[in-house]
Amino acid sequence: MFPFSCTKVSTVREALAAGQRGGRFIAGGTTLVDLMRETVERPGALVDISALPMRDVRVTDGGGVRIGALVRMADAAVNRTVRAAYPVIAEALELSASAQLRNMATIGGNIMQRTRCTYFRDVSAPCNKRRPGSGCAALGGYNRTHAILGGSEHCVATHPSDLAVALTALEATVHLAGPAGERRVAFADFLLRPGNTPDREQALRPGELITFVEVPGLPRTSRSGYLKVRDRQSYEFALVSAAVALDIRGGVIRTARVAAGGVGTVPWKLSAVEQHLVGNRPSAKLWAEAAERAADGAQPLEHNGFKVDLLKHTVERQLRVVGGNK
Amino acid sequence: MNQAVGAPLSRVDGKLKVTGQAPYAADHHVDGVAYGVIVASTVGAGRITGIDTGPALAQPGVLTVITHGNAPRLPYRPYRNFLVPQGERLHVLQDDQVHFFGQPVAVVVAETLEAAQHAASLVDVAYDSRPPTLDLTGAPTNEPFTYARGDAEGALGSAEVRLEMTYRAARNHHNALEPHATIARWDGDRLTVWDKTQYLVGTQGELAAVFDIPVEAVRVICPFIGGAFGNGLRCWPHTTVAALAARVTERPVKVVLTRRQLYFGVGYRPTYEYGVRLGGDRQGRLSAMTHDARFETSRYERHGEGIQALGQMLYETPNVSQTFRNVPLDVNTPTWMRGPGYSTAAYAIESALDELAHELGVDPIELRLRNEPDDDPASGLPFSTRRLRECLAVGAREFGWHKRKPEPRSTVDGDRLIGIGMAAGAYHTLRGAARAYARLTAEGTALLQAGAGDMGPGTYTSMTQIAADALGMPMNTVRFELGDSTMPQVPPHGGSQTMASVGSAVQNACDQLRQQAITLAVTDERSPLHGVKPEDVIVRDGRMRVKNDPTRGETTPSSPSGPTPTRPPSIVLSAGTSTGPAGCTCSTPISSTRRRPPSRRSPAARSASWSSRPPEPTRRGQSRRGVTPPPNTQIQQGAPHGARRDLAQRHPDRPGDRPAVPLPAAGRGDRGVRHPGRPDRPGRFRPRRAPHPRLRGVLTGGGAGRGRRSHEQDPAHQRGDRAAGARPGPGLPGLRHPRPALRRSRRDHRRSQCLHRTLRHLRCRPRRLRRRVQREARPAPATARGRPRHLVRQVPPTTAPRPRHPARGPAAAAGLARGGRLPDSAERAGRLGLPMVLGYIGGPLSHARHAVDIYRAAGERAGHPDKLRVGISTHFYAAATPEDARRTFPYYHEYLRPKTPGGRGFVVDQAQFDAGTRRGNAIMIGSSEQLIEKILDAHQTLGLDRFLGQIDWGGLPRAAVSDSIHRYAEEIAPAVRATTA
Repeated sequence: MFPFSCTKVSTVREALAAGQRGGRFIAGGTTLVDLMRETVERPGALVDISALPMRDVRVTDGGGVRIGALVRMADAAVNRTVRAAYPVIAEALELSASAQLRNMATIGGNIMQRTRCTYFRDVSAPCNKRRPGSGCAALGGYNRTHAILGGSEHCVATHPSDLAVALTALEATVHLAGPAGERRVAFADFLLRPGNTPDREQALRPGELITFVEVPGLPRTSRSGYLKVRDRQSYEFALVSAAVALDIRGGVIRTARVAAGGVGTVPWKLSAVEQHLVGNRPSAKLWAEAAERAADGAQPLEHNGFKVDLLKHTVERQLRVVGGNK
Repeated sequence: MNQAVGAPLSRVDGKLKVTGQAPYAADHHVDGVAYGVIVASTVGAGRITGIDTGPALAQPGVLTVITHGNAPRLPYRPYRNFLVPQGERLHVLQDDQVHFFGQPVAVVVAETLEAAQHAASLVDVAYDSRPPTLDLTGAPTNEPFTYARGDAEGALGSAEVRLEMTYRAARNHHNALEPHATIARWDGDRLTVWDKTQYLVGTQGELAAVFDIPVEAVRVICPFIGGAFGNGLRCWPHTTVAALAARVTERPVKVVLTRRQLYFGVGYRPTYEYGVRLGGDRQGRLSAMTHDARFETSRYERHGEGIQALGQMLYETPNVSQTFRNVPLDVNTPTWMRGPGYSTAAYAIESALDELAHELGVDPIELRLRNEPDDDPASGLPFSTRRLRECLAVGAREFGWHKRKPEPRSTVDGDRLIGIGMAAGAYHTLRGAARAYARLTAEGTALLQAGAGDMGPGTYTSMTQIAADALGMPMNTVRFELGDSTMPQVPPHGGSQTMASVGSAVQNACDQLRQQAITLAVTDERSPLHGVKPEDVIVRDGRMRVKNDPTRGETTPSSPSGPTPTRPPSIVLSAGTSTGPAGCTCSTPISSTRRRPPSRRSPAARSASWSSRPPEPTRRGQSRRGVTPPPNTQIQQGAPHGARRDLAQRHPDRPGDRPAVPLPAAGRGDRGVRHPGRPDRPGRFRPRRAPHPRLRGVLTGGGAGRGRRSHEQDPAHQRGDRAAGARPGPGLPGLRHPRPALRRSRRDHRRSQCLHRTLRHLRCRPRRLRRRVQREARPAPATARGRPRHLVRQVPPTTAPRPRHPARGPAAAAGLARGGRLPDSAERAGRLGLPMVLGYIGGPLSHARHAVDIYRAAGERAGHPDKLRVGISTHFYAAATPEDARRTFPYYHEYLRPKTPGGRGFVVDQAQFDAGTRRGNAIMIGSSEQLIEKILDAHQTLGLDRFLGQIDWGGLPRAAVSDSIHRYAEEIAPAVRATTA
């Protein structure tokens, strides 16, 4: 671990000031400290924001919910509002990491976490995300867990967050505070595909801080859920996951929100699947047909071709789980 | 005979482990230790062209950075033990060659771990690398290991059915919870390492060879292993690195591998490509099998493992050929892991047989049975143990094999497809030459040592069990030590051979030690055992005695404890302070010289050393480190009997403990002196004190739960107990004796000691004990339907000894709650075959006859008359005389009276009390003679199996309770046993 300083701040203003001076925000520390130990991250200054007042879950006027950036994953998962209105969020959180980590890690940090690509975390390997221009070891290396969607010639690392998949499906908004004031960014625009700049992962301006995440309200008749498929049953990242929220009224699917994790460089919104579902009556045939569209545009690598089928099956299974086995 | 082996004991090292006090390799405190962090190669093959250590050395706290450029050349004398593979081991930090990714290329040593880690990340190594070869397929191989019987190719050609399959087995890394770690310290030319290892001898030999020092100059210490699975069987490069760094820096150095480094710093189960070809007939009888496998190894060593055996002997196959090829790759050397080779071969062979079963439509188990050999097809010799038929039959039954649908995807449970499969496996039985050291101390403890390991199978506990049984001593007086190369040598702690090897050595050492002690006793004319044939002497409960005469033995018991009859009326006192008939002699050690004045040592004691060298002082916690391995057994002290005689002679006026009631077959010798002989508390690895087997007691819910006042609050109790001697309490003049004489008398002192020893068995102080008893004795939540309450398992084992001896009836329930009416309860108890205890407050003993009849009739109807056990529970006090007993009335009255207006209780007057204590009635308060009579009456009337006495009631003074216990143990119980046996 490289030497660093650490400052504790108690107001957002102090935090922003420290951030402008180049400080890296740290809250739960479950990802950043790991990466610092591996010398993947070498921040010279840390700004401890865990005392900031951003740890509440509130219902918004529009019937949605806003989750403070410093709410612990474990707390968000057991929040009654979240559980009642967005089972998909609660399930995604509970299937993440381990109980110990969920007790420390925050919602903001969860969205900000960095990829689990082994080459990114091995400082002896080339990695464009860690050292721009050094090359991508995964493209020609062992890429079983890597992305089949949204990759570039510079990076094919997946985004590891389960929560982000749910938030992508639900079309959440990220609220930011920065030196230039507050602003909001649609979740789909917040996490960036690697393109030519795989080291730039979020649409954050320098010194900006996530204050809360807002999830729009769903119709009361909505049902949702999260399915995570992985190499072992706990404490493991997804090979493929699916977040599904369906509003079925009068035997017809009125709205559908579907996203997949573990397959894209960012959580992957499955718009084609959604379009196929809306306006139709739920049936096993419909689930299968819709899921067939899940892997549209997939570009599998040498070792991860299995993800194409796995993605379709996972989406189909979760559509059946949420939408009913008819 | 066996008391420890087979008993449900806690691990003797369990507490240390769960409280985090067990020192694993990296946990040992070594003064002045510095921290080494290994810099691992980041290329898979090539050579080092330059190492920049400047930035690392510039860090504060960094002592040195050792690379191949500045490391001293190490001798690396040739060394091989039977676990080291062929080839030449990695010479660490000796040249610029890189053989595999992760090879140590430098080590940073610093004052702190953090400084060393940071500096290690700053070491910049330049390589001239080439792409490593990592794929088995296509790579050139070493000379194969081959085997052939019959003509496999010919048989395959003519077989009705042929099958060809290839299986790939991925690498397995051991990844034990404890990472490999080494602390190395040099003292001059002597090297000590605290290392995670399964083979002390191997690590010792390897380090001696690497540094070219005598084997005796290397000491390896490993008392605990946090899981190893085979990975501790070799000495790995980091151990050498630690020793090297310690030599360079002249400081002790600790090196702990990171989790990442465990993937290349130590071995792993290699990758396999295993080709199987089967030939047979349509009935599935195999005629030929070929095995062609390739598996990885390093470029510098040839790994081998038990891959051949199963293909040769698992099934009756006349024609077999095997070719196993090592494929040298740019990797570190694999090693043995969990059934090395055997499990890989079983995976391939059994998968192929399943394919064959599928092709032929034969049931997989049936297919195996059709190919089951009678003898070992490889050697033609009979198997020592096989039993695969039995195994398959039992497995099929237990797993519901008959329900299996053979068609794939045919069994569905919701979204899940359910498959049921089977496979056979086999493993050889190993045993190696082992030595153990056993020592008996004058305090009555035993020390066992062997250079074994305990990576989880419970070596500490199992060896202690073996020794305790062989020496006839309680577990808590025996200590077993392991994990030090100065201890006697044993085989590696791997291959499932520790129990067979080390266990046999421990058994043998203890057998010899026992024989020596017996020989000493029977040849010493001052011993009660003098002249007895050695084979007639047995050891039990820490004493030597004549097999058929329990009274004649080394420390004399105060009462006979005859051989356990099959179904004796076992007599138990309640309230936790239970004691068995052997009473206070229960933990008396085999030998006790504590009280013997030196001038009066018997000749035998003076010449008691058999050892080839004078024994060391027997201080606890001192092992024989630093000396050459001791002879197989030593006896440290002997001749305890002199001591007893001395005592008796010095106190001729000592009141004897001779029981007031006639006792069966009193032995010879000066019976009556008890050696309190405190069992020495073993040191760090002290086992939990298990209740003495004799102390089989039962807590009952009656007495202490009655009334709200605890004994502590009871004024009578306080008067009688705490203020005993200060001012007179009510009644019991004998007990509230001011007793300046009696209190300080030796007899009283001894009795008190005995009581406290009994209590110590229960790990309680008297006051705490009472509180616990009250707590435990509160009525358990019994349901209205009368479900059994007070199941013994609800009672923490440390507060109450449990009736668990299989010969003494079921241990499950101490009683059946009386939830409904008595006849119903009795009927249910009989029907369920549970023991029944009838609680008495008063009334004639015959009163319960009716319930017992119902109970027995129900038990017989249910078909288990042999399970029936009847007990009674009454208030109990054994007094010296009937008059003394009568004087307990005030306590009894106080005890039973309602404590609140209208509360529960009885008012008993003296006349009622007197009547209740008379013969035929239930209150068991009286002289020993009276009580013997009454218990025997009850036995006759009810067919009593068990008697529970409430001994501590009404705030009786402690001394009175103590006396009562003594009379019970020494007079009443033996007499009752003798009569009813």
